[in-house]
Amino acid sequence: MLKEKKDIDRIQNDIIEEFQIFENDMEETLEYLIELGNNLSILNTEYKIDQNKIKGCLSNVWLICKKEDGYLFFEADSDTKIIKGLISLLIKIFSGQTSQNILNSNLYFVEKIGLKNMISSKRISGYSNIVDKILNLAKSYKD
Amino acid sequence: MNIINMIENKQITEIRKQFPILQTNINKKPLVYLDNASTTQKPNSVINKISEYYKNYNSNIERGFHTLGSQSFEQVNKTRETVSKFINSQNSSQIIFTSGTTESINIVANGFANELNEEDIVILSELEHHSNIVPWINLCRNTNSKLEVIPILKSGELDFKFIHNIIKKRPKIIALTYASNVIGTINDIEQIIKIAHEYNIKVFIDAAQAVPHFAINVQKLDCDFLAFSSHKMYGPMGVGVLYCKEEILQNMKPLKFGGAMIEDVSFCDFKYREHPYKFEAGTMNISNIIAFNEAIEFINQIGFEVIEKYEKDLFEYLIQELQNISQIKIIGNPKNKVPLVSFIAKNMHPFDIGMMLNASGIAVRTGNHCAQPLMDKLNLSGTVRVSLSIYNTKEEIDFLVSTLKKILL
Repeated sequence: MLKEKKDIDRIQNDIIEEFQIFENDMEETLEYLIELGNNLSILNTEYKIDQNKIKGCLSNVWLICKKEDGYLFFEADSDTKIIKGLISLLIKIFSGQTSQNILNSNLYFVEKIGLKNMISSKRISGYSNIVDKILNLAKSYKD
Repeated sequence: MNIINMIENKQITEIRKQFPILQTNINKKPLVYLDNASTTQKPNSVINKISEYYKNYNSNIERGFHTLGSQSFEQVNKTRETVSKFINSQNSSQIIFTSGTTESINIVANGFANELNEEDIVILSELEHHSNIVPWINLCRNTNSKLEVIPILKSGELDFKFIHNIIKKRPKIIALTYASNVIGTINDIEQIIKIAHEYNIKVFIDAAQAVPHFAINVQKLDCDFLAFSSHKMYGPMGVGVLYCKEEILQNMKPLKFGGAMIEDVSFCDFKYREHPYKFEAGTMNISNIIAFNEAIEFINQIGFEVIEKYEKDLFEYLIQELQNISQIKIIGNPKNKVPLVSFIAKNMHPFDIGMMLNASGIAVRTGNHCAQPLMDKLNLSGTVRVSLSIYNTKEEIDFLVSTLKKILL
């Protein structure tokens, strides 16, 4: 379990390192996030239903979760490109982890890549609602 | 450039110097603050006054007979006089200090709580901010009265045909915004009040978006109630105003009960003091009320003649430049507007535009602007809103427009 927990942190550290190239330049950071969002695999329209919609976001965000061999896999979409980019990072971190791992995790990468705004303006970005949804799904899939 | 423009530009440079925040950087870029309809920035005179208060005469008012208390009391009264002159009310006792427009509206809505029944109608418009919707929904719920809503036309202006018809049903009150915080529409309030008064209907005006941009004369308007916030007119946060007609103040019940609002108290009964104190229970935001005086002085010193002309020219320039960006669609087209505009882009979500502009140091508002019913009517999930103020410049608009072009084209 400890080993897997480390994995989540390692992925976060990789992301932080990946973003270091932008030296906190917000414009470049956001442009890269948009690029990441564009590369996120498309969520089938059948999943874009109210049940999968994350409440409390000012933009539309849908998130689904599937469990395979004890590991959780997430897919998501958003009509804002920046949030979609942020979601792609969350998916990178959480997809393929166990429920327990996800529930034990501590997220710190967003602040470290200069996107503190996303966390402080919770209601506007909906970031914390997305994270809460992931945690709730992890809880519901817990054995 | 003619001489008038040169004088104006020089004056705006001087005005900008009074706002320390305008000299700061955001994301390593000079701040371009275009979210003035949310709140305006504060000049040094306002900021210094708050600090002067705490350094020199911090005290509660009308509590103890000491020098500090009377100094504070005098200063609070000074603001009351200044506000009274600013909107030309008959007496300064008609000026009630509140925590903001929202509290002012709640006082008025609560004041109607005993007057309405299931036969009665309350009228709002589709242009209202949540703060001028929710207190009235709550009132209607509590009294079983009905809520009717004046629709807007495609232009973003109120449907006067509807107003003429609905008024015949003799609603108890019409609560309207003077200027829309989303589209910018300046409603023809004077005309509506005239029509309403023919039927003896009271009119409440939410002037939060109007006060920083043009002169308001409550006696000429003949409105029954008018509310606004200090923070949207260069003043401190947490201070609002409610103006009411004298005869209404005599009979209206307060919303809050507590200290400073009573003349006599026993455990069996109490007797109200006269207004405005009747409506000002508890310790008020004394420091900020005192500093609010400086905000009005700031406006008075420039004068609405200059403010209106400068903001109008700057706003026309903004609209003309935005219209040149093919991806942008401006929402609404009313004849008279305060200097704010909402738009959407064909190829980008408002949230993304707001984030990208912020990366360049430009502050705008994105989202539903606390006007969800209006957004639903316009079939929009959100917009980008640019709102101007006296300290904004043509150069800032040029930077906004070039950044938008970079993002969208």
